[in-house]
Amino acid sequence: MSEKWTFMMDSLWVVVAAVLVIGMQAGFALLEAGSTRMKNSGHVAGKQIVSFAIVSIAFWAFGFGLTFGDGNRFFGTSGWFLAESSKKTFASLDWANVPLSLKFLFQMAFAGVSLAIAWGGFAERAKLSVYFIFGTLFTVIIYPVIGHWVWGGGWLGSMGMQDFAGSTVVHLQGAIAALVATVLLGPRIGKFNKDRTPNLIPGHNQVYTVLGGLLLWVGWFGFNAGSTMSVGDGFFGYIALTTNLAAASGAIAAILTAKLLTGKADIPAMVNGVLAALVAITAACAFVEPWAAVVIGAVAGAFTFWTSVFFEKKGMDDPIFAFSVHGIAGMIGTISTGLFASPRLVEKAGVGKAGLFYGGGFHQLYVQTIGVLGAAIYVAAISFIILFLLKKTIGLRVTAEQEISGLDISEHGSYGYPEHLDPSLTKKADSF
Amino acid sequence: MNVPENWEQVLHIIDYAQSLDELKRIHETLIPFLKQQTISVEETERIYSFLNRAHRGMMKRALELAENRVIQENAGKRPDKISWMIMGSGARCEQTVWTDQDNGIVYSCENHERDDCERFVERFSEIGVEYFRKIGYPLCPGNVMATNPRWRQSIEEWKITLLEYSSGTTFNSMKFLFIAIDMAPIYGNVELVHHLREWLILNVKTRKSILFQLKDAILSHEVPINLFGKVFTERWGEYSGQFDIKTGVFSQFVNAIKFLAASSGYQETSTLSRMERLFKDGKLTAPMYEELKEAFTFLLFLRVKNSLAEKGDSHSLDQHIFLNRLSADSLKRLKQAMKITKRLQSSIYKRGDGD
Repeated sequence: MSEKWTFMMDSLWVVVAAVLVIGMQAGFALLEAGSTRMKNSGHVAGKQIVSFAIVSIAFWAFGFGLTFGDGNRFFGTSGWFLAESSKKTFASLDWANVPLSLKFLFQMAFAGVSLAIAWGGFAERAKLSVYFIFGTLFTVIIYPVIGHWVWGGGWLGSMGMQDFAGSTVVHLQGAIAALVATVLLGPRIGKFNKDRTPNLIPGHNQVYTVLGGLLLWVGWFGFNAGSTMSVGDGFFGYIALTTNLAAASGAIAAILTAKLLTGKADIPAMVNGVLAALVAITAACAFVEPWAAVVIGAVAGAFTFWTSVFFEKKGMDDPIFAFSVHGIAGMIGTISTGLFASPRLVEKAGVGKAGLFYGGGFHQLYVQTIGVLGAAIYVAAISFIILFLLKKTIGLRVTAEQEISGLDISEHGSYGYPEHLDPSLTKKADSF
Repeated sequence: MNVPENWEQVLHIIDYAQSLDELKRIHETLIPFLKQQTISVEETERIYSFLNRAHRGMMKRALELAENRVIQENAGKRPDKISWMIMGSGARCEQTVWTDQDNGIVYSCENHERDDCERFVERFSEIGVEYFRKIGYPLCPGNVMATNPRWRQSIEEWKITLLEYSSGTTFNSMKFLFIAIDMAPIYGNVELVHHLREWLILNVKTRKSILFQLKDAILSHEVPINLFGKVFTERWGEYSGQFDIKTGVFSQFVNAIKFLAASSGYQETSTLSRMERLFKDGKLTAPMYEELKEAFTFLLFLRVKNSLAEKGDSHSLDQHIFLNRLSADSLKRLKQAMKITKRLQSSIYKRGDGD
């Protein structure tokens, strides 16, 4: 195939993949809105657009340069506003044979997903202003740093860390920010009784939750398979295969685990199992054999159901289970290549070494563990500083009255479901 | 009131109680009295036997006082025959210390006196239920009480109602029918209730469609234990982490045995006597009977022991327990009882309709 055709086909594939990943915003909007209460549904869904808009601007201005721009081992120091001052500016992405605008679009979509995950920990009680401030700072000083460490020529990439599409870079980061927010915000009103026993605060629409999960599943083909950013050798097809196998085993493992541990085959648990499996296979999709993808997906799907129950018992109110689904599964996925990475695939991907089960020894396991710890510590520390300062200055949380009224009415002035929540609002129009 | 020294004394002071206050005080002394007794699995049958005689004695005495008051008020005319009956755990002699009300009335009167009779019965139900409440039996949240016209009818009306339930057009029909199977008289003309129960059970036994629906109703309540012996506890709410003995295993066990007994046409009302009859008639093998009896006795023991725990008034009817506070042996026996109940349900499921 000629170079021109390769360029065209790769570019077309990357734009399709980017659109699939951007489409995941719709998945998050449905998943989160369905998993929260009716009185907050407009807010929870609508903030997804706010979030993606913030990422689009901030990542274009500074985030992309900090992630992929030429710099030191810790962050990029060039490439602001996509300006290429020299051929070296975005050398870390030279392996992809597509225009810079597409490289940006694709990577910006990733940053958007990471921020979307973080919001899970803020759900149903954070002020809208916090979304603006934390969203901008996350996109500029949190996400790009880890992105640079692993993908932008930083110290973890140099060590050979295997994180093909971002179990750590995208998912663990978002999840750690969500965890810090969950802790600093505290539980939603009514989540726990005086004796610390938890109450169920069910989402208002399981169909939305399921549709959100399915949209994310589909979007993940752009996320993982699209991360090849090329079509020439057909490797994207293999990655789509491992991705799908993991998601499927995660769904089955999660619903069976829920049935086994609680007696009920919980639907939201199954959706979370799919997502946890997808999160886990994100790092490993290019490095593991299909059977290992099934194992990784099943372990992530089953284990994160248990952790979501465990954290709730321990008094943590993570409304969307963001930390379990993206954090715990992100760790499982990242560390899994240290066990399952097969030599033939490692050679093809050209990153790191084979895993423990393939005679690669403990080296890759060590690198992966260091990667997880390094990223988790950095994100936790910076997120804590930002959110703590916000808490002490403008405050993180809406007032109790606003929280009880719902964020739709208190922050935005209208309900997502007005006929249900305040029929008097629509009474006049309905009388015609 | 001083705590009685023995069961005979408890029953004696009930018989001679002169007022509701006195009956209430006797009811309240049951907890400290039971705490002085040896509560063990071996003693369980004996404890329940006395405890239920005490409950029936208190209710009977309260109804005597209630009837006197209706007569004093000159409210209508006493029917020729009237019987106050109880359902649920009371009827099965499985009441612990605190239980809510489950009762009804059946009566018979001449046509020309019907309005007067109904006035009497209605007033009797109002005062009776109120007196029960005053002596420590909370109102039934499901409204299975004589004040509800559904549970207060003449014998003819009862038969029509029970036939309607037997047609099983709604889920509630089967629920009501299942409650009614336990009916036991505690006051008045006992033969009315006995006659009605005989008629009902014959009806149930001979109509396969009823048995099919009853079977469906009881099997819809699964026993919350998995293949590996993990017991499912409440995940959310004030009882998070706890296990409800009543809805988790006791009801399923009682209902399964009740189904087997009713489908054989037995008139016994207690679960233990139903099991014994099933065994004597060869419908349970000796090992199965022994296993079931042991499991059920343990559940009864757990219930009475739990009812003595300090929970405060608002939780006196609560049957939730923390499994991690049970001894290893008790937990093992509870799990065993749950597995047996599951097997019992499974054997009922495998039966042909109305076998």
